[in-house]
Amino acid sequence: MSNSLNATCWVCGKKYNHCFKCKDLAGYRAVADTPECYQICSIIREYREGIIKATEAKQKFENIGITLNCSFSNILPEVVRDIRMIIGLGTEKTDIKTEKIKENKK
Amino acid sequence: MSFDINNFVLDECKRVFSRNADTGTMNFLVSQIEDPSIQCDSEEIVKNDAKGTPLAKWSQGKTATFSASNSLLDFNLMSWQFNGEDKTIATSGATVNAPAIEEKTLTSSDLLEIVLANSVVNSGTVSTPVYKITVSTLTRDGACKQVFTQGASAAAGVFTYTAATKKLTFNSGDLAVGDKLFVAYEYSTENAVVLYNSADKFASSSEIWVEIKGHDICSTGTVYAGYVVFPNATLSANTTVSLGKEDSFPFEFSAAQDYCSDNKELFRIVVPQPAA
Repeated sequence: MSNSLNATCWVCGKKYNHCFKCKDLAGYRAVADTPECYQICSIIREYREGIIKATEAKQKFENIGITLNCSFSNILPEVVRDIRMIIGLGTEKTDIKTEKIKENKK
Repeated sequence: MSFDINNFVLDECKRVFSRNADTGTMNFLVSQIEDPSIQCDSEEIVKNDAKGTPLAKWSQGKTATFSASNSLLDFNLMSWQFNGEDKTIATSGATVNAPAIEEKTLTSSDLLEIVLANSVVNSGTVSTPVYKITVSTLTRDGACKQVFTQGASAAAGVFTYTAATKKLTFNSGDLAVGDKLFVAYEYSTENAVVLYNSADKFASSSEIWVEIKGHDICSTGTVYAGYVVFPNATLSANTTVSLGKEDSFPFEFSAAQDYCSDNKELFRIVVPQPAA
């Protein structure tokens, strides 16, 4: 296997080496250079595919330490845009739900 | 009086078919035969005297090779030439990956999202899906214009793919009305035929019949059917698959002796008496 930088991380944009035939070994490297980047990519994909809702995605982002207050310095701008959008949607839905529960209690 | 002819006018080589020498099961049958011929060779051994003048000659190592072309691209023949097996026919239980190319001239409703006709094959794993999709726009003469790559989020030159909806999503401003979009991918289907030429598979021997037709010299109405039977023939994997409109598809097979036969034949030509 050559050591050429033949892949680009979908999340941070860094170049890295990956053998696309060795999918059983470290499969996450098909799209991301590190497990951390892969987790972000995976959450975005699951949300886009409808596997999880925005609230669940927001929670998953929080679990890996990503909130709206993060610096996002190592992440591609378009990925940051989608993360912010998903967290925003998750937050809105949570707030509406909480308010509805409060209203019902009154 | 027993039936006996010595010559007749050859009209055509009607068809060539191969079957399993033990069971008789059909392997392939081609009926658009062009330029059929049987090349028979042998090795000659010569004993010379001290001056180099031949004293005696012997022959050994006889070979026979049938070669012809089929006018049509015959998948059964090619599959037996390449791999020595039947072509693969996809079924619901054994689907195959088929390539798909979609070309679309974009309208105002296509600038952000395109829905593909088929689901793209996941070449990764269930937990880490990988969808190999080739996307570019084309120039008016059909050449590649702008290449797009797949990513986690749509951006300039980057599209996303949503497997659940078969949707490609593009960044705003990347595509324009009138652009011709080219998308290539593979999808899984149960309705396809596949012909493999594998590096590790080769043709094995089979019994091959060449059916010829001719007529009597004195009576054109008397038609004879003759058979050239190769009891132990092996197709050659050497061929040229020409892809021109008028091209035909060459094939050849070489005969080995039928070792267990009393006649040790490479081939035999049989002309039965025509039916009355």
